[in-house]
Amino acid sequence: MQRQWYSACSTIGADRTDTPTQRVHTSASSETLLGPLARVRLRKQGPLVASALPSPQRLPFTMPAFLRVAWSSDRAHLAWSGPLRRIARAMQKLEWMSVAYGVRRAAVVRVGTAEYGDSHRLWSSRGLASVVLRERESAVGPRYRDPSASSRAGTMLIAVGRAIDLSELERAWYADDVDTLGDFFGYPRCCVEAFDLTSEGEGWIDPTWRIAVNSTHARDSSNVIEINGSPVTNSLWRWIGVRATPHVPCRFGCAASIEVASRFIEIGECAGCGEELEWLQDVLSWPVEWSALHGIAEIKTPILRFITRTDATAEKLVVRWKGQRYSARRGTGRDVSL
Amino acid sequence: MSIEVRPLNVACNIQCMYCYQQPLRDAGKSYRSYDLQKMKDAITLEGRPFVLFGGEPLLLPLKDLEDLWSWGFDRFGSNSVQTNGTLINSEHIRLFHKYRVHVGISVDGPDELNDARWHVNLAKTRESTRQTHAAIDRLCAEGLTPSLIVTLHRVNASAEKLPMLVDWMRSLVRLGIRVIRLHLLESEGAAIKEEFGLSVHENIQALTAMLQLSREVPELNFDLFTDMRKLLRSDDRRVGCIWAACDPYTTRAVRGIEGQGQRSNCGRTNKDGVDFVKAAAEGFERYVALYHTPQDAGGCSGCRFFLICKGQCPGTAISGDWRNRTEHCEIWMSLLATLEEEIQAAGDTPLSLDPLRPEFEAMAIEQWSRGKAVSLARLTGMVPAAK
Repeated sequence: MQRQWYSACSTIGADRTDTPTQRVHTSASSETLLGPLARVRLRKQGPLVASALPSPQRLPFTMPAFLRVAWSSDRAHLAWSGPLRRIARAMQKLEWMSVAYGVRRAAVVRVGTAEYGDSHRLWSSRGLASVVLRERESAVGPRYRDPSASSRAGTMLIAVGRAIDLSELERAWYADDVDTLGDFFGYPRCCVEAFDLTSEGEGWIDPTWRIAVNSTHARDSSNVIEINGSPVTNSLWRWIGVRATPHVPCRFGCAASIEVASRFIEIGECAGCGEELEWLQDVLSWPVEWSALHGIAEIKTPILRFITRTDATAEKLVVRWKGQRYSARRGTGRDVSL
Repeated sequence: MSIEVRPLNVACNIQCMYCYQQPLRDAGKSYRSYDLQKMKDAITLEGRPFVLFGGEPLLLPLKDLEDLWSWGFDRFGSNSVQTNGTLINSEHIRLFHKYRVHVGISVDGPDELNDARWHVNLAKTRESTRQTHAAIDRLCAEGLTPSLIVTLHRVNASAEKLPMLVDWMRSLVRLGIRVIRLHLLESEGAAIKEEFGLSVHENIQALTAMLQLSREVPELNFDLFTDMRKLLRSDDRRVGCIWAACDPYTTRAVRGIEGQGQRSNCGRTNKDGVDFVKAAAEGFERYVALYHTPQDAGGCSGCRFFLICKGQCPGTAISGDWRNRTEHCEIWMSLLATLEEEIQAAGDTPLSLDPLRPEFEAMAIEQWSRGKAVSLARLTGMVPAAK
């Protein structure tokens, strides 16, 4: 993917020789479709059908990674910053809990270096082993405050699974063995194939537009897509850790992803994350709009807006998740009217 | 950097037809309750003098105005207010004197030139205009010379009206007025632009006329031209916010405080009718993106004035999307070219024609990419780099 990308564009922050060592830092959480698999070159699974729709014109530059949030009001911040943080932590916990419960064979989690010891003991108590994975060296890039996920500095990427599986997982990781990794992480085959087409085939760094194109035939205009469906496949909050699946679904309404989300929710309820998951499903059902222009994606929700990196396009692309409901009042009884 | 305190949010006694705050009013988000102590607490946290803003801040009861200004005077030694001038009376003037309140008045000209600052009907509009001008006269007579903000649009700066506008400004100089800030119309919608917006050519004509006036009457300071000249000489110290790579998520130059002490951004960025709270960190993604985006796609790639203009105010962006450059690009480019020639004629090399400009641009992009603000003066060595 790196070689294909360099042939097509230059990278901001690099000099014009575009050498890989000068590639700007990519935030782990910002645009990966398959989590760790995004760092891996994908082997094609066979013929895939590309979209018949014209692809938006992409500009030959890549923005440095960034993520910034602005709340719609102080009250919204007061009411929701805590719950959103808890949702993100709950989903991080469910990454490895899903392995402990036997839903999948392995997970990759990011933990603070100082927390690794405690985490390792916790995983061991659940019969799991762990191994540190070497990740891509980060280059110069801005570090912005992320309300949910840790920045890469001071963190480690850890594979968690059964001891007998980890050596094979490591081999697959460093060999770019997508099939094996996909099996380990329990990602739906359709989502792996969609990522292959979107990232390797079409060179998108942010699959959001392609996911929306895959999802519906209803379009207001050539650059605006309105979507509805199962909230657990709404991936427009993922940059701030609010997501129902460990991967990014290939489309809104992906049946296999709904199944994965259902299992995660079941585990979460058993693991004492019931309140967080209730909030999660509520939040994911709210209307939200993602738009992209000139490499900046802006996501607008009822309680906040945030910006993050996306593919640089000459025209504005818009994806609107229509949602089922938005209620200003949260279940805790506190008035969160905005 | 200014602290804009808006006790009554965007509530106003008149209904300027082109008001950039209308999206907030349309969204039903303007609110009128305020708590003086909460506002003071918020101002204290900011630690800077404040400007009483609106809407129309003189809608506040006199006792609350005095409360705020008395506190402001004790704390900072002076105060400021930005008003449409229609409500100024003797009591206000007494407070202006007592608490050293600098008055800024938003007005677009005399008589019919001010008709876009609408007040219910034409008769009332003309009466309000008369009241504003009476207030200007009185303030000047009392040694409280105000500064003015004048917005240029079809009602006051068309080819037909321009001579009257210029004559009016000459008369202001005779009154003692020395500072006029010029605004191009920031249109919130196609209908407003259609009815009130000047064409590119008309805007250039109007600004050129003002520039000529500033040369004839050097005591009259249009800060717009002063800033542009400074920037062409690589001096961005204390220039207006529209030239200062404003981040729409934090609007560094404007720290708004609402009636209940809530923090807000500059109102020009509120296109959705939502007063977003400032983001925790400043960023300059807009400028990195504009630098690389072709001009025919709404960016600034290849423009020699980029370091000076930077795509200008995000509140004036094409299609209301801050990721685009300003919709007034052609106007600014024309004016900058005129001033560029002026500097060359003086025997100097403006930044736009400096052979080192590409290097300066690369340094600026690198700093912005790291989330750092850029000082042109330091970048170009005009002032020593900070240690």
